[in-house]
Amino acid sequence: MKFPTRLFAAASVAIVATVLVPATAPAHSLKDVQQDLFDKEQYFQVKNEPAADFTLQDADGEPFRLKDLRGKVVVLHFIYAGCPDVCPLHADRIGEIQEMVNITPMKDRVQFITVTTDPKRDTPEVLRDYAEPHGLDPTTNWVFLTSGPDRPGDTTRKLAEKFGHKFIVTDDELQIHSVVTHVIDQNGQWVANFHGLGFEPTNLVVFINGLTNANVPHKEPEPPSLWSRIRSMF
Amino acid sequence: MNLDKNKPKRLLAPLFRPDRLDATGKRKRRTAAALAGLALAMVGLSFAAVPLYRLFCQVTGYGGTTQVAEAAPTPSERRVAVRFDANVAAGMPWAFEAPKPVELALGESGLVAYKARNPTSRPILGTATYNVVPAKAGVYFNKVQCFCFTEQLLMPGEEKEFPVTFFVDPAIEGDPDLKGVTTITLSYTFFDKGTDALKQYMASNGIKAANLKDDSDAQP
Repeated sequence: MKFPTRLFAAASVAIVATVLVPATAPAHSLKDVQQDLFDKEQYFQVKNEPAADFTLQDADGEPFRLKDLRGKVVVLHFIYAGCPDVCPLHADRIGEIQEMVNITPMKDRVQFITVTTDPKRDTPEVLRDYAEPHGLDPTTNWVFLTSGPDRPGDTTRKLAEKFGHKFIVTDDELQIHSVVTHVIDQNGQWVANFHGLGFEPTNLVVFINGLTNANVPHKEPEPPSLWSRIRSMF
Repeated sequence: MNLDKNKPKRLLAPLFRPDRLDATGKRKRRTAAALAGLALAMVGLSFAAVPLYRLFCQVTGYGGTTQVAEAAPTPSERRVAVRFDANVAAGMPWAFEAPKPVELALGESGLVAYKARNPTSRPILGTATYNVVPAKAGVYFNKVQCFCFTEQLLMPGEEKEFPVTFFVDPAIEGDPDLKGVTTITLSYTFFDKGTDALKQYMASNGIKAANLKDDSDAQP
């Protein structure tokens, strides 16, 4: 009876050890960042759906497509230059975030996009002159996009609606709309919203940083064989 | 189990084969013990099912489970220099100092410490972002311990060390894009989280505003 007793004891120890060993989780992962922001940042909203693709044009009339930005984190928001109240503050906030991101190596991994919802009045000149007063840097990774004069005037408003916005255009052509900063990951997935202007800028920067570190494009090395993986366990 | 033949024990012994009493009794006891053991093992396994399945997924990669590194793998012969970079954002008054570069074999664990000091007379709450350069090496640069993303409070005049434990995964050797890479840079940037976040942090950690200047030993 010695052999079965010992075997049973060894099996019991192994089972107990397996049950008691805590599952390890990678520290400082994107999931941790999301959870942390979910707990602390009341204006943070987790999203997980493909971002609506679009092809618009920049102030020089050059086409600009969202799909071409795969591999970069995209920070997207909608404003119009004639907006008297929240839009300038929103642009200031994006300028602040761009400055924070651009002092880090994330500079080449993030694209900031502002889309006008009033393409009729936001002419290329207006788009060009908008950057400087709001601390936005058009020479690096920020661009102000429009649908251009040849497409219907509500093209970008319809695009904004795909990102959850609603527009009320008043008689004096003012647009009443929500203030949201959208974040799209390197795979074109719409992953977060930061609502309003009350969010803490470092929280958006940290979230962008979590994305840039989580989705690093690389060629997968040859995976080790199943036998070598099992052997490495011992 | 008592196997003493002199003691009464054959409650279930067969009536017609007294010569086989001992052997049959032993067999039955063995069977009963084995069955009891089996039942206990099954109960144990039912509790162990979840961790065992997780272990199975980690070993095989079944179900897309990420391979989580708990410790550095066996070092390889290829060596790589790791440099450290320390920056502070505009408006962040901390003095932030990077450790000296180190050279390690792939898979070998390294431990360094960044140093930050708050030279001002007010407490400052900071948070750091990090990046690995070249970016493609980031996937092979494993930090077992680091201070990224976590809020860090430095009291007036306080200096603090921030250790980083890391290793470079030998799997980097299999990536054709990183064949010639001999140097990897780990870059940290500290940002000031601002007054509102500081107040919130103090409130949630039980640090009173009145104590801030006197209580320089307070730790986050």
